[in-house]
Amino acid sequence: MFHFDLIAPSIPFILEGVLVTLQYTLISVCGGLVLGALLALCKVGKSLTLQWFAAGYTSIFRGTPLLLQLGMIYYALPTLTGLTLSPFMAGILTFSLNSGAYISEILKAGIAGVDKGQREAALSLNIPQYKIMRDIILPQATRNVLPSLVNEIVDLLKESALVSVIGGTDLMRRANLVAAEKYLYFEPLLVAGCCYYILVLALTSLAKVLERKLATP
Amino acid sequence: MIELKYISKSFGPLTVLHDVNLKVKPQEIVVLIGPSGSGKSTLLRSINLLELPSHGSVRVGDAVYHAVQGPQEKVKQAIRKRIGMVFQNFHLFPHMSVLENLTYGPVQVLGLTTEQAEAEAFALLDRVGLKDKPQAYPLQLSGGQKQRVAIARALAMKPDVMLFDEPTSSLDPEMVKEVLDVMRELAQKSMTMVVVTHEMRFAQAVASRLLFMDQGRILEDTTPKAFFKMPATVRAQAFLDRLV
Repeated sequence: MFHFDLIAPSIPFILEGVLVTLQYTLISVCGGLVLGALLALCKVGKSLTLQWFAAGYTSIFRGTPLLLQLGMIYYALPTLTGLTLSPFMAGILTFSLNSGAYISEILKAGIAGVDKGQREAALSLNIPQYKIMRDIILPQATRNVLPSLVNEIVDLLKESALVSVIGGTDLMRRANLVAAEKYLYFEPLLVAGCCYYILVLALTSLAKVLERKLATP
Repeated sequence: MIELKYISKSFGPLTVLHDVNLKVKPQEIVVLIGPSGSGKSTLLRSINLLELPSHGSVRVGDAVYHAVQGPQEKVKQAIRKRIGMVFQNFHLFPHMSVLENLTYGPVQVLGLTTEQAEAEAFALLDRVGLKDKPQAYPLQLSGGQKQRVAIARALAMKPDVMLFDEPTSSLDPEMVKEVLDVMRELAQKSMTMVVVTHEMRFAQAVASRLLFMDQGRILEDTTPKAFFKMPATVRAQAFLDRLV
């Protein structure tokens, strides 16, 4: 009843999607981290305007579906501005903007979790504000929220399957293409599913190693 | 050296300091004692402006901070530059080794090279009896060791004055002495010190001047000898009676 033999020639095609999915995930995570760090700084900073901006941004990106955001950037943006993005660019941009919102909340909580005595000790040593943030607070904050950050990356990896809707040839889209061609659904989706699962497992175990390395002895 | 004029501090409706005046001369060792909630720590933290007074002015050297004039970041820096501080809970940087804790400030703030800063750090570690611990992380140290590192970290910035905010209050009893010994050594080397403490024997032995505070005011400004013989105020007598 299973026909893996029929899709066997297409399996390498599906597996190549792993690299595409990883590309989406890793580039978007980097974008999300940079954006998230900037937004988190706005949220803990003194400027009310920046606080409002960051809070509004986060509220909108967390309050609407990711698929809608993807549609806005891939379909609506070109008609509004004349600027056309490839599915790849649109995917990366959307995922970065979206994860930036989530990561900023994670980092904000991490910053708030650092003992305020750390800041006072740094002030008493006359360390300038930006160095206190960069060298004293953020390293401790990041370490505190590493598990939540890994969660966010895992979510992003799985949600990146949404680019298949706008034609990005990631793991998900490739499985669907094979399915449509062979009129077989279970087999290609199972292959893609295994790939996602293995990627997530690899990512979480990598994070555990990193966590152990970062932990102060 | 230090001059606080008419310092008041309120947290909302609660006033913790009432018009406090205090002058500290070079090489004085001033010990602040009093019941908890009397404003000792707030007064101490006002000196390096970790606590910003609601009214009054703080002068350290020739830098003057006026409470009514807004942020004055330059003044804050000029004041903090001359002052080192040691906290009850150490506040060492946990993600840095002992050596990094001692060299970060000198390199990043004073502009020393790493080699210079490390050479000075080793000398300071030797001075506080921890020359075998440069590579250790704060988590691996006992409370007494952490506090000695914290003192060395403050000294690495070459301050003119050292502030101590209950430096032995979170230590196990057997570790109090090693920290007090370091402070005694500092006192002998003529460091100007302002110390909030509950260690009466230390106050008696080392202080050149003793202040008794209660309810946000300095009630007695005297010598330890006179104070422990017979305090002038009823409240200080009651305070001493309650001590074991």
